[in-house]
Amino acid sequence: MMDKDQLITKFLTQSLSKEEQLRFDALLLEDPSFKAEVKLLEDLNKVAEAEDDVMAREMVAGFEAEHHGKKMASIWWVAASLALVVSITYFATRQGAPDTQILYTENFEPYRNVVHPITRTTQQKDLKTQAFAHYEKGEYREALELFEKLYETTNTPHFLFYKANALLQLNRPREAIVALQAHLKTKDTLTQKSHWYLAMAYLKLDDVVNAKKSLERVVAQNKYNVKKANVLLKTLD
Amino acid sequence: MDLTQLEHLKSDDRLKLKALYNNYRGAFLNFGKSLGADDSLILDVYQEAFLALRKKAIQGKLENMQGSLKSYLFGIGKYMLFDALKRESKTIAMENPLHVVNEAVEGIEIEPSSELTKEQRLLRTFFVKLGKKCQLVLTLFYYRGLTIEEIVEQTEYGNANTVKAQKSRCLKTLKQMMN
Repeated sequence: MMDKDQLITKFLTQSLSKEEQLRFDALLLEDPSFKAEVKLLEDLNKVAEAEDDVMAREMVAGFEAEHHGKKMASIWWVAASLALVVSITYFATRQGAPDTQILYTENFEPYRNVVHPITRTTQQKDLKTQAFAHYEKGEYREALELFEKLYETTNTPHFLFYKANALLQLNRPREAIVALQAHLKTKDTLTQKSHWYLAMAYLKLDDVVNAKKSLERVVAQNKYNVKKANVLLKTLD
Repeated sequence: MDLTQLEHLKSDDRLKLKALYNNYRGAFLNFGKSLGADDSLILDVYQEAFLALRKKAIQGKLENMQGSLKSYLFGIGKYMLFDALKRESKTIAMENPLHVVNEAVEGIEIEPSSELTKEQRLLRTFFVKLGKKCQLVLTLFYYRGLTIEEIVEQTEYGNANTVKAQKSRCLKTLKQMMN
């Protein structure tokens, strides 16, 4: 017979069969601890939904913000188009060589803010909140300035990591490499991700040798973006 | 309904979600303009409609739905736009020819989520204190209704036992916080 936990899980996902529903209803009447557990998990379900809503709302606002960022940057399009013509001509002459810039665009996404959630209820407007609020809105120039200040004053390694992400987004891969290498000398929960972003920075610089070295470390660590790293390594070979 | 699109909509994968979001944004802008709304209202509504659609997908309410994801998204969006325009007292006459153009899209009403109770709000403060790892496992299991095996596939946990252990530990900590 199905245990009580499974019964509650099926109740929460509205997938109880008729017989299970009967047993569930009976337990609810007879067993106070079962009733309390159901109440807690129903509440937890609702709370998780509320938190998930906040996360999704921030993410979607970020997608929209990127469009407005693009609009502002439209004057650079002419220059960018010219650069593209030059690079297409360049790559067309290198038959068979993978286009690192395309690989970079397909694979780079600034790492999400996991250290300081910005919610609509976050009242405090300290430096850290401001920095991550800019970061989540795609305002990387402002975020970068604050991450630099925060790292100088607190020496907390994860600011180096987010600084590097902002730099990559601002098309400053050389400086991003410096920040990531410094971050790799520390030990925080994000250092396993630094090799991946280091690979992204090298790709951006068209440095295939070092990009591959970093990707091999990603694979060796077997923690973060391993599948993506394997695919990229095959493409670069 | 396209099952791959549905999976992308339910996932936490930012790139996949962004691709879906951007895929219909332009068409929705045109759609909203044809109803006489301005860009900023249309884009606000588009975000809301996209979020509502994602929630429906997570709650498993789209699996057996006939029609495309796009038509459902536009249906939700159309209802919200009409509602917003009504509130702005920009009445849309029934004979409005622009309205006729969009007759093909049927408006879909979304019920707003209920407010959290006092107890749930307290639980939320403990839930946040649990940290990201616990929040993720509990959300995937209880809210998203993923099985342990599906959680292994979608996260960086190596195997089912680690996920099970993590889930029990998080739940236990949550209960301790409440007592």
